[in-house]
Amino acid sequence: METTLEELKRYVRFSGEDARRLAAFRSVAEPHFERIATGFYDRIVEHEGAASVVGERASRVRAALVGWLGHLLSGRYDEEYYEASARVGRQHASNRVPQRYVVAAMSVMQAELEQLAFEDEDAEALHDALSRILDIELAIMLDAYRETELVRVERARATSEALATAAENAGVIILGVDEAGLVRIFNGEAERVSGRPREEVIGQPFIAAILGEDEHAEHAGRVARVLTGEVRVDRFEAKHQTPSGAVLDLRWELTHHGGRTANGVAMFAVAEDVTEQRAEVDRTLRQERLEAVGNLAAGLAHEIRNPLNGAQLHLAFLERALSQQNADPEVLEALDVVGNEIKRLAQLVSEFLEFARPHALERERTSLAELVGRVVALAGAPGITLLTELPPAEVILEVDVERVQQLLLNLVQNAIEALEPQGSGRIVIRARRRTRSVVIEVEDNGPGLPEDAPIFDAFYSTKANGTGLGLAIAHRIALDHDGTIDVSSQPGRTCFTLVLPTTPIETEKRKEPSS
Amino acid sequence: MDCGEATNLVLLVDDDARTVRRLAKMLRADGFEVEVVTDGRTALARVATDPAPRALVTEWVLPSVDGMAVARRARRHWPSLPVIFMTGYPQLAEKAVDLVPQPAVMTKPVDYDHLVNQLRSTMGTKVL
Repeated sequence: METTLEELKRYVRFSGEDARRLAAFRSVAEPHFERIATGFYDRIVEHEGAASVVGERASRVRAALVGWLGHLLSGRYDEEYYEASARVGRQHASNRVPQRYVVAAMSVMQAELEQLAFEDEDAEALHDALSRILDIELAIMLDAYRETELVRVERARATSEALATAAENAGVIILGVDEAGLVRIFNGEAERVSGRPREEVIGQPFIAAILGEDEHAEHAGRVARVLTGEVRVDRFEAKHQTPSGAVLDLRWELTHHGGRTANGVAMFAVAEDVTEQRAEVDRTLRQERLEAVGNLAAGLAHEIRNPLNGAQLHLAFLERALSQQNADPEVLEALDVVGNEIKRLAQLVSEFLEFARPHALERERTSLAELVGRVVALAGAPGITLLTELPPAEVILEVDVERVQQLLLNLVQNAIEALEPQGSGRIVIRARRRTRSVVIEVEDNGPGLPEDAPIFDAFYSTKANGTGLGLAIAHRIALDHDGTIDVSSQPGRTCFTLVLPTTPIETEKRKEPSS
Repeated sequence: MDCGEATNLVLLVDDDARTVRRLAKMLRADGFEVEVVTDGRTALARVATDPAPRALVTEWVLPSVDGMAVARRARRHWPSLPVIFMTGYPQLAEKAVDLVPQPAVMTKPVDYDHLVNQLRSTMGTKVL
């Protein structure tokens, strides 16, 4: 396989004879190298454009020229020669020396050397040899430039590709908007959040694309000002509803783009989903408010409990004294009523405190079956059928046992009371496992709840003696466990459904080892 | 020495003077000896001196000194003294679990009969 050098020599018909002539010519030309180099240098420094390229490297340029002249007349034109010439070419290209300057330099060197060649006995042959080697040099130089340029382009392309990939996959929304307010760039995250594919959005107005019509009026002005450059950067927060119905809080940053990009982008719009951060802040605020309320509730409870204590104690004294004196039964009955009212107040205070005070859950592992079993035992429902339908495999929960038990007991007791007027009925406690939660239902076949009744609201009660806090507390307990409680009711069937996430949960099959 | 000279002295500490005095009268009618203290500082002094009570019944929240401090001091002198907290802040008292044996906690309003039963059972089991 022919090398490039061999190919070039073949094209220009460079022969061994040419090489010998050039080598012989060197001793004639060498004393003039410095002069030629300096002369050339002075000429290019005169021309402003070249001067800026050469700049402070004056002595190096002159030395390089001298070196090149020696290289040219070295007499050895092998692959090493080729490589040295190519190296020079690549250096020029990397330093971004315009090609035409290099060509001009070679042209000047050629003229100077030809001047000196006139003196030779075979001037014409020497002249030809010089022409040929300079043609070869030119070809090598052009190749070197092309190669360097290709590498540069490739690197730029790779960088560009890497940046594009980064933008595409970034966890932030990135949009490019043109002067007319139309979308030109729409990254992956933008697609995901808006639920719309890029093809649908490109060329559409930015505001409609992702800001949403509600936000339109408010933010149209901002967008316009950044598009024109009146404002360089603007930041604001806006809500966005995803196709699945979730509402996100997006923090936008609009940046005016100074120059024009290839696709006419005048403004970049970048948005970060701060929903979680906001929710965290809101949670913290809510928690603090709840704690403040909780402390207030505890203080109030204490303040109420003390006088109740005094009243109850004195009542006990009265009851003794009066029954010792054989008081009228009606009098004693009245005392009894007062006693009950006091107890009721005390109960109300306790339940309110339970409801209002945030409390850390004390999670314990317990088996669902055991939990339900205890609830059934505590409930006690004479005349009423109480059934359970539990999964055959054991289900372990990690919950605040006392509170969940209270919750379930509450539901069962409500069901019992609902069935009391009819004297009989059926209550079923049903449970089933889901991937990440446990669903527990308490169902009765009683008369049902009034339609649209706010039963989970505090102090709502359909019972004469109810505090109205039972279900509010149940709701509270469910929420504290990150779960939910709902009810569906019609005459003949009322069903409360409690969903508790499981953290962590194991299901152990009773007999078989898990597959 | 753990067994005081008084055989069934109950020390009551609560700043609700009228109620605590009524309670004292009722307890005396039921056969107990009762001393009443209505402020924390006096209580602190009282639980460091003889005669030792056979039971301490105290509110948790007292002006200037809390019931826990009173109980702790009493236990330093009489390590197995039965202690009953009567309080509108049961959640606080329940956290005071570093006393051994653990004090009982009763939430106000307190049922009188319940209190008497509690006293009789704890005082009755004391070894003389």
